[in-house]
Amino acid sequence: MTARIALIGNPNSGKTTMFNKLTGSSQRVGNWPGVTVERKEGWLKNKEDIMVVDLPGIYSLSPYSPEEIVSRDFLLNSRPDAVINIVDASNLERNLYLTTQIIEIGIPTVIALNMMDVVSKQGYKINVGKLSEALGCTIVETAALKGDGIEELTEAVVSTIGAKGSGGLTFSRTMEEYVSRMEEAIHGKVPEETVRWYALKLLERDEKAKKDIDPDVWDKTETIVSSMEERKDNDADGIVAEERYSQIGKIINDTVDKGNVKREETRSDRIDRVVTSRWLGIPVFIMIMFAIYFVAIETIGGWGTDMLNDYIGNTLMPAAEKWLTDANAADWMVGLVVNGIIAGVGAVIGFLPQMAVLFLILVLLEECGYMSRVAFIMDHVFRKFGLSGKSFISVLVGMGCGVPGIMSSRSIEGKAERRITAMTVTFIPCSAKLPVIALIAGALFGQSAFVAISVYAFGIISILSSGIILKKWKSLSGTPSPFIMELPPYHVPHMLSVVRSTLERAWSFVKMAGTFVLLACVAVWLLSSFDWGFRMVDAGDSMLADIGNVLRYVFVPLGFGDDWQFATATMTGLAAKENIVGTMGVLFSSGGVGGEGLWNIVGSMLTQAGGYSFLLFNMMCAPCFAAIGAMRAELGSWKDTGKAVLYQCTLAYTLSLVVYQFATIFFGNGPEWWLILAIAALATSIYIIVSKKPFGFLRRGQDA
Amino acid sequence: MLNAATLLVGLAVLAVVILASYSVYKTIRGGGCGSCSECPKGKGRQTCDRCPKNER
Repeated sequence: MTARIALIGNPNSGKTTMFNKLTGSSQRVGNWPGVTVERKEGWLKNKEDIMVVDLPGIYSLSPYSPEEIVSRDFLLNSRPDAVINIVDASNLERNLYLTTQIIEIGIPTVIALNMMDVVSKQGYKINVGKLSEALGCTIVETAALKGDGIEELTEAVVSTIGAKGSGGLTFSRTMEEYVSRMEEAIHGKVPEETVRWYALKLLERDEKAKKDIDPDVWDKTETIVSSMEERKDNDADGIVAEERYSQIGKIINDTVDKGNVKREETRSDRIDRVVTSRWLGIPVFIMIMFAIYFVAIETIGGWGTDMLNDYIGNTLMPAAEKWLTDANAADWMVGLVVNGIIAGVGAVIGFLPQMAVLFLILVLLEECGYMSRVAFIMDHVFRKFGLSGKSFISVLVGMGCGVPGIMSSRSIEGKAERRITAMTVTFIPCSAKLPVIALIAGALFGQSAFVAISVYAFGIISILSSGIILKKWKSLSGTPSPFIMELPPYHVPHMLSVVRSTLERAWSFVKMAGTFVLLACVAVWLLSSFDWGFRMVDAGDSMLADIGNVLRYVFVPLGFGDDWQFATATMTGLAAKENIVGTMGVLFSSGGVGGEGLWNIVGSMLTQAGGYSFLLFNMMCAPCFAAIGAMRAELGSWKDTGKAVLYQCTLAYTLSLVVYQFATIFFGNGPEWWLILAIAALATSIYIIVSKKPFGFLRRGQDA
Repeated sequence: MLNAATLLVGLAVLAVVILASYSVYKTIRGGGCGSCSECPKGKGRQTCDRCPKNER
């Protein structure tokens, strides 16, 4: 028979790391809250009949956030056979607030006292035996990151299955009186083992708990709560929280020996004084980002990419061509393999060294704890634009891939903020867009890291401006969510975890090139090699050229509509953004694959302003199909998803138009007629941002 | 007429295209979107809580 164990704890208590250790899986671990949005399941290592369910990190079992609701519903309705409560020993008081609520549900609970290594470093001592006695649960000391105590924890939880729950804390005499009265009032209305939990929740005036019981007793429960509030002269939830913290305080006094340890400024505190400072935080972040792209794009990663491109273009392609020609294969077959598959896939794979270096540095920054600081710093900025640090966490996740970035928006409490985040998170370049940035930087800007930094800056500016613009739409107005986040101490990243995360991301990139991009390259080669009568022709007379020649007029005001190739590359990018580079690899394969061959051709066909405009449009416009699907899941309807995609494309078009048209005045051949359109678009954008009710004339639309 | 080399290379390309298509199909069918770099080994909804195929 299968048993189920729930894994539950505060955000950032090391829960996902523990899940990975217990099950041997490799779920993504983040150094910020919200990595686990829904529950996930795995089998206990070496005990294949026991399932471990990882629940989202929460601070209490109150139904305030989606994560709290998911965890609470699972514990109450699915009633697992046992619970492992991960407690961050270095933040015992706050963590026990959740523990006391879990044990009240009556499910046998084992506490994993995690991060004991940090407690030892701080010089504290915890009397684990006494703590176990006070809470009525088995406690196992663990350090999940190092793998300490995992076996003991597994044994403890297996032996707990089938045992009786502890029942929870005993509160003050007055409080216990009210609990007893409430228990009496709801007796028989809820399962016997959860009576105490429900009694306490009803004393807190928990509306969700109230809905679970028979409405006939609502009057009775309300009378008890009102009388308690009157006697204690406080709000119901405040009274219960105070009682809880008072009991927790007593337990901590009895079990934690703080010795003569004085709170001294740690190394983390000293670093944070600079890194999270009001004035230096953002400049330091920009400098770090610049350094990352300097190393990944311009120097170390760039050198690797140059070498790989040289190999593909100068060795692999000629060798394949010679081998196929010597074997007497037909010319079209040589073209398909060399100029279609190798040139297209090679153009994308050529960027692997740059991507790998970038992934490595980003993983290091996540693991050491810096990225959590960035979310904290950006909370101040985002809040001014109606968003919050929670939105920025989605942006951080979205830097890897837009899909999880969009999905992570579901941890945001405010509906309006959640929807705006889901609609705008793809403005930040994901890893699939990086090869496009590297291509334009290489072809037109001497591989400058400033290109990448400026695109990220435009991404952030677009998200913030959208915060202002979209909030003016009635259905998207609302206040930003509260943002509570712990800043974990800086620590040396766990190398195995860093290597594994980097390799996983790099492998995803290779897999994408070998599947989606390969198929797209074959399709692009076929469409660019045959006409509508299926006769082999030059690319300029092909089906793709005909399609591109219609589409390209849309992009003339943006500076990349003179040649059909850029219009078709933009279109293929809708399936997956890597296809943009793959398509160019196929269409420009006569100049040699990737690297300088491709860069020279792109550089000769676009001006710097046109190239940058092409880059901006492709970064900001509709994301790939997968991300659009994820948006549909979050926004709940295709109609709203359509509106979101339309908004993204309009913003991308406006931004590229304005940037290109103004850039041609300063760096190009002087103004074009389209400048009038750019000025009108800019004026309209400013009006929408500044005006209080810019959509007043669309009242019907707003009310929809 | 196709000569032997063209035929053999053509079959090899066809095999690669079928394998790539199958891989894409499997990733999408399995629950993953296929282009999500966070999708653990393409297992999608079975293990990934961020997978768009997950029920809300």
